[in-house]
Amino acid sequence: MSTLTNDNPIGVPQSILKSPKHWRNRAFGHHWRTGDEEFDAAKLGMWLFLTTEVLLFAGIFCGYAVFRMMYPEAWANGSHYLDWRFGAANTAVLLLSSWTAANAVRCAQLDKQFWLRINIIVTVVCAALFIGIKLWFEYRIKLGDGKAPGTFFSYPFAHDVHEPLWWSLYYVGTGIHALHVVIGAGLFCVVFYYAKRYQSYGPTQYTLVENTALYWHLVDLVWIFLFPLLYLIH
Amino acid sequence: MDYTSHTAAENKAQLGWDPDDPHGINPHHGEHHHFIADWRMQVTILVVLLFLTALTVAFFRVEAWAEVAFGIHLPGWVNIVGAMSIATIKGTLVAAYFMQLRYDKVLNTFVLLFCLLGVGLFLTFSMIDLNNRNLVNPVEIGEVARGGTGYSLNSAPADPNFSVRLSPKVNTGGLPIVYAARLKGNNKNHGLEYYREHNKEAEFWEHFYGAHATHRDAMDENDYFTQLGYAHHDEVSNANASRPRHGLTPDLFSDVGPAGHGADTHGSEDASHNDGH
Amino acid sequence: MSTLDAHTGHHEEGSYLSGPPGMMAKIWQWMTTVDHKKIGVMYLFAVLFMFFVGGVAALLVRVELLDPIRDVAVQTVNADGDLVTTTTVTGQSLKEIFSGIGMADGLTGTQIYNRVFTLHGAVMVFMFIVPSIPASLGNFFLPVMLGAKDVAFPRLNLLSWYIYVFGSLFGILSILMGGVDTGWTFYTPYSTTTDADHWRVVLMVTAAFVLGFSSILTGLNFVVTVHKLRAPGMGWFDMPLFIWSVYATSIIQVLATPVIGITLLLLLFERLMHIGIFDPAMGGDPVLYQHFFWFYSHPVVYVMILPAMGIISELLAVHARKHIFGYRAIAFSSLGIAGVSFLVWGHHIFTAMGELAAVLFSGLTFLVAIPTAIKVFNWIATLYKGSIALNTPMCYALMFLFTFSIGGLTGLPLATLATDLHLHDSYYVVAHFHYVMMGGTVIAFMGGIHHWWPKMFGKMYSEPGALIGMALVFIGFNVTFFTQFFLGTQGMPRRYANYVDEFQTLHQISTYGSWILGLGFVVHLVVFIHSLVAGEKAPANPWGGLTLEWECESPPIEHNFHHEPIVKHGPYDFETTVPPHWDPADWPIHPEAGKRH
Repeated sequence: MSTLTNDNPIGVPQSILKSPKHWRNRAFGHHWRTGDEEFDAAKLGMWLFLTTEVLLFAGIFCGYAVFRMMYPEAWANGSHYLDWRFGAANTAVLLLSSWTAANAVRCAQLDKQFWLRINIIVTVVCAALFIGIKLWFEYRIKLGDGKAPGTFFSYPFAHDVHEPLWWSLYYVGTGIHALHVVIGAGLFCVVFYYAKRYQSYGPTQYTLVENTALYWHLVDLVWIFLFPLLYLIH
Repeated sequence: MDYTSHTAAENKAQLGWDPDDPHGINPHHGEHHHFIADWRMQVTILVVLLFLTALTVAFFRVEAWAEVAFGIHLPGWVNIVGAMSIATIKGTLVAAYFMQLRYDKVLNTFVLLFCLLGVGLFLTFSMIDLNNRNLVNPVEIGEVARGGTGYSLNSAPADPNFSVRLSPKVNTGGLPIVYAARLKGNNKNHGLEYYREHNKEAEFWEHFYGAHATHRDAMDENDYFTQLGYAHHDEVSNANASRPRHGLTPDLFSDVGPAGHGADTHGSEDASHNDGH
Repeated sequence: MSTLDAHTGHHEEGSYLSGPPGMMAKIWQWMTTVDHKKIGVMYLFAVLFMFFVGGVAALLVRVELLDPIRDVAVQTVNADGDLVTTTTVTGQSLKEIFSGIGMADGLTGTQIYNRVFTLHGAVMVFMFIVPSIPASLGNFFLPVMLGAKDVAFPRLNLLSWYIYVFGSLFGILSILMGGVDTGWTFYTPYSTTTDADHWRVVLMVTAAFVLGFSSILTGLNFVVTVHKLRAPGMGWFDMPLFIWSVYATSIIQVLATPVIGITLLLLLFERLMHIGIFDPAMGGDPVLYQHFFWFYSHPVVYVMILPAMGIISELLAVHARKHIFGYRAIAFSSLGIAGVSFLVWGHHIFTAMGELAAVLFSGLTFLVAIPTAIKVFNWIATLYKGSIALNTPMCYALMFLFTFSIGGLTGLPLATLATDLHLHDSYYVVAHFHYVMMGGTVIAFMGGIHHWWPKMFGKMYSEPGALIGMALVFIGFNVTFFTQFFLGTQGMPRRYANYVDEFQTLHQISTYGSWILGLGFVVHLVVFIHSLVAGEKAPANPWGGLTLEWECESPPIEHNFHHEPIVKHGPYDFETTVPPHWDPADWPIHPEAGKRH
């Protein structure tokens, strides 16, 4: 649809440039009037999907709020068991990755293919770092201590009878969030593959980059609220 | 591979299309402008976000420090409102600039706000219910504990062959699971039973209260709470009190293990004045 | 079609139903299609199949209640003059039926009864009524009525169909393994402790969880389609009211369904790992589960009824040849219902919740009556001085007005806190929601299918046959469920396999009614099959409708329209507009359209 007559000036191999998956050669759906409308629609659809994600996490937040109201003692003890340094480190990691994700969109818009890939790589590395910190420094140590959800609980020094419930909420909340981190990183890997193999994303075609970045920012947003709720509020 | 020049004008000259109006290449595409973020703005936002993260942690640390060092006990809502306000500011920045809501169609912002309204309704009504049981029938208070007691894991699930459950089949013999765990211990830490067998119960309670002593525990039959000098920690167990803690996950680092709770005893003498004991 | 082609001057494009030669190629084409019309038809058959499954379960429930044998030892004298004692137990009739098909191993009749009514509820709610209208008729007609070639995200649309099938397979697997007896609401602690040695509950909960994704994706798709794909000239207030109601439905689907996702996820964790969130033994709260559950499941009641209201708006206007009365009032009341739906979930748990919240929810629940009544008044005003054709769709629309009004008005005593405490969990509630869900949604669905059948399949159906089916459904439905109001007010609790003798007459009447109802649907099935096999070819606009789907051919071509339509008149301007494909020779265009008064 939007094939250019002038060749790409700088050394992109013809095989990539001629590929139907290269961004210049990609067409929009037959049922759209313009590519812009398709882009706007995809973005609106993504935002609607993000609202469903927010409401999914609303269940976790609601559980947190209700049980904190009922058992403030257990919740105060619970946040005391968590180390704010890991939480803060993970927050910083996610914020950084959010920035690189935003940059990836910018690079796609400006057709900076190299920096697009670099930004995606940094984002995925940050995701791995986040999961690594979570699993190695948080889950491993806590589960080793017996600070586990529900009937798995075996930590002998707990003060409040409702502390297993705190751990249930903690593991479910951070677990579902971590799952979203993994999904987001997976999406970025897909984006990376197409960016590297076909240079599929450019100024007129960057919907997937944009939507993946939106998803990633939402994962970041959820963590921005989970971090103080779990680690700082007592 | 990469275009060596980075300014829009150079790109335009070099590429033959206008990065500011990329859709100009298609006659149908001229109408829209896609916003391309300024990298300086993005960096600024990142720095501000990191600063706010530091600020919220600092707020939490200062509060704990004020409690420990000066005995200034800030009310619980200060902590919550402070942390949540900063989180909201951070969230707004991410949504407005990283997610580019500020430059996007208003509809997308509307979608987000509408969904937050839904979240608000969900939380509000659920909490209204769970916080206001038995208003009309005060007789029932005390008979029915809200949300349960934490006891009664002695009864197995309705069916004894509950084989689809992945969790351990726990029978705590009528105790809350926390108490059962305390008596039995786990692979890493011995339980109270072990300490009692070896006549080292004081050691257990030292570790126990050393983390954060608020009141004498029901299992502390010999009142080690007083014996070990934690009596001044005693507080009325106020259901709505939010108490700043200090210290870290026990046993996480060698320097702040169970023995490292000395800071607790230093500060708490000041704190005790505040409690009026 | 050749005349149309001559008219438009376009190259011939086949109907969407014409596929490549060869059965396998056809099947492959349908399985991989991204055409919203094919997906809508696939949804239609899938939900009708689920309606059949759930309907059979409903008939079985009624069979058990026809004559539940008491747990007694009956002494009779046999032919030889000996005294014979036979012990009978409740649920004997179901037990015998299920023994006949070899599915009763080790179960008592009452256990079977519990599973059968759970099966009825779960299948009807999650697999039939939630996706019924929006996913089938909505999928087919929403883009066409907007003048679009397809929904916004066609591949997502296909994905949501596959997710639906996948989720339904989980549910069917659970049923084939023996079914669950938790009730369709999966209330804790029962759902976390029952059916100990089987994964059936897990499977059924997973089914509901997966089906939620399908619902979300469909809703998301429709919202974007309505926003972005309206034909040139079609403003928000030029949209047919069916679109408005599906739009409001989709908003609810997007906002409410994720909450059932997290609820069922927590339920799975609770059941499989005993994490304690809903277990009072660990400080959790079972009523919190009910809050979570109804935050979704109350709004979803409006997911069920809103599209039905949209269909009724279409049917009444077209078949009375009258501009709809109060277009904007109906449009905004759809959005109003969607908004209010999120404020009233607590009325399902009046007896479980605190008094303050109960009073709040009771007051808010009455708000629902306002937009609903606005719609009903407007529909009735539309009929005034209309040229009413008493054909099948119109009869179904009138039946809707009758039964839905009964359903709506009997809801008010349930919203009133004091009376609800008496009627809670009684047959009154059963009758109320069947009058709303069946008398509302299913009846409108039937009306909608008849209204759009010629458009979807290009064949007319037998009008007399359909009218007979309609009459049987009307009689059967009212006999079945009106009796249940009396049962409920007299104290018959729901979900019981047995009752005291005083209730037997009413229960028997109800069961006989269910057979008439079943017969009515069988008649409809026969009429539909006859239409597909030997139906007369349908004209492009048999009813003289003005919405854009009547500008397509019957059945529509692959891309719906030969030209992108430009909207020049409102959807209900019958007084001022000549309908598309209008032929003065046979007005009313088709004899099947019925005699006009």
